[in-house]
Amino acid sequence: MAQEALVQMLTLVARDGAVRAGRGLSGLMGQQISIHVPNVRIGTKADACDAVGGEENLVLGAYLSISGDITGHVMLLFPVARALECVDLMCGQAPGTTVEPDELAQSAVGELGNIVGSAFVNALADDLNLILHPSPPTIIHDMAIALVQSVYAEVLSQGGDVVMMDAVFEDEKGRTAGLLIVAPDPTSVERLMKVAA
Amino acid sequence: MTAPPSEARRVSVGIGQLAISRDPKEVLVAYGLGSCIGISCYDPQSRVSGLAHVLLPSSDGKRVEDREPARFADTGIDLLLRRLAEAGASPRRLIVKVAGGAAVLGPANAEKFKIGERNAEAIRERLKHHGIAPAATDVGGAKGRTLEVHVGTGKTFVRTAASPANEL
Amino acid sequence: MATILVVDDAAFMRMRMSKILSEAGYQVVQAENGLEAVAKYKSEKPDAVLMDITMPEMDGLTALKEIKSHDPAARVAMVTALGQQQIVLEAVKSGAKDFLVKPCEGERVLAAVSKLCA
Repeated sequence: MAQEALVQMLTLVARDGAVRAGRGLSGLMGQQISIHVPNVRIGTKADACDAVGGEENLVLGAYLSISGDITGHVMLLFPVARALECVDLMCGQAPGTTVEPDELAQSAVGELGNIVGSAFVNALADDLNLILHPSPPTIIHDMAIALVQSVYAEVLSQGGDVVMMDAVFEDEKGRTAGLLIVAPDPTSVERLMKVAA
Repeated sequence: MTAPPSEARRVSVGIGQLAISRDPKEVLVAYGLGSCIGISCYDPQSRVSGLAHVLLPSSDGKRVEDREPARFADTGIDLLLRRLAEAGASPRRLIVKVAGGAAVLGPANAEKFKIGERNAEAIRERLKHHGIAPAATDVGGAKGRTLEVHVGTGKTFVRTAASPANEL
Repeated sequence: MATILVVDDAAFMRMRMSKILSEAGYQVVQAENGLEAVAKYKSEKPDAVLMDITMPEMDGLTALKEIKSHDPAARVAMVTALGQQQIVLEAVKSGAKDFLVKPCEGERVLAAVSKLCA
């Protein structure tokens, strides 16, 4: 019962976050990026990785930890080639210009993670009247499942259920542009359940 | 690196799963081990291989679900060894190798991500409890790993995003 | 021509802002975090500051407060992804003259800088 209320509340917040993030992404890349209605679920399966080309597929992205009234994890992942295309769009270059994740490309990806992640965090903060501080982004470049399962396992190991939200977004051509995962720490899940009740 | 036979069939061993095989055409694989640990076992005499993909350090006495029998290090290793014995492997002859337990979110987030370390420690402890010392380990670090064991020969390989397969 | 101090931990953002500003004729000084921002404010004496919030070493709100205590007339605008109601309130209360939520268009940045320097 409490879990249902929590999922419902987070789904509403997630939709607000999706709108804010979509606006941010569209502004950054100069084209319409739409975000699918986010999936809020208790526990997560490896199928979250399908959005980025499968478990073993290499992804490039950013991780932020959240502190403040709620603590937890935010992670934005793209298949590598897609991330580099985003960098090109952000730099006003023809897609295909950036061919490897050099320092500037990594910084751009980090900033993308910062903007999209913060958009969701801002929705959580404003909708639930909280103050939340995301950390500066950590750039990540690894196999999709290794990253997703590490966040999942860390939260699970602290006890309680894992509440994860994953949102997939796509560009004007309908191609998957990325995957966003938001997971509050178990102590924060308890707090959120009280707010939802 | 020695490639498996051309008709090799890759069998994916997902999170919380374990697999035992005597089929020399099979390669058991644990993809994308981040904080997770992959344990490969091989008995050169009976030519039985096993691979377990562990997610968490301890069952804390909780009941283990059938669909994720190797979820926890303690019950997972116990079950892996039991299944290997049932398939004709002898614990005394087992060559055990361990990979994974990384902190893939990097040193900046090390404080928030201890689960890889805890898993590695739990695996070490449980193997020791069974009187087994791993023949080789590749744990820790900050990169995800894919671990595979070629059933026919017991050869075990680890690869990462940054490096091709290396024999463990 | 006015000197603007651009503070952001992302090299990409510093590069982008510097380009927008220098093409409009401003002199640009950069800092990577709040600590560096305070030091450069004191040494370079810029006419205005564009300050990110989420940064390592020292965040932008803390740097804003330190700069304002050193120079109450300091002209600082926040440029951040952290667009939360409570954060905006805190920034304004601490003396920020404007609050831009990233990503923002070049024209918006220039309008804000021009207002700051007026």
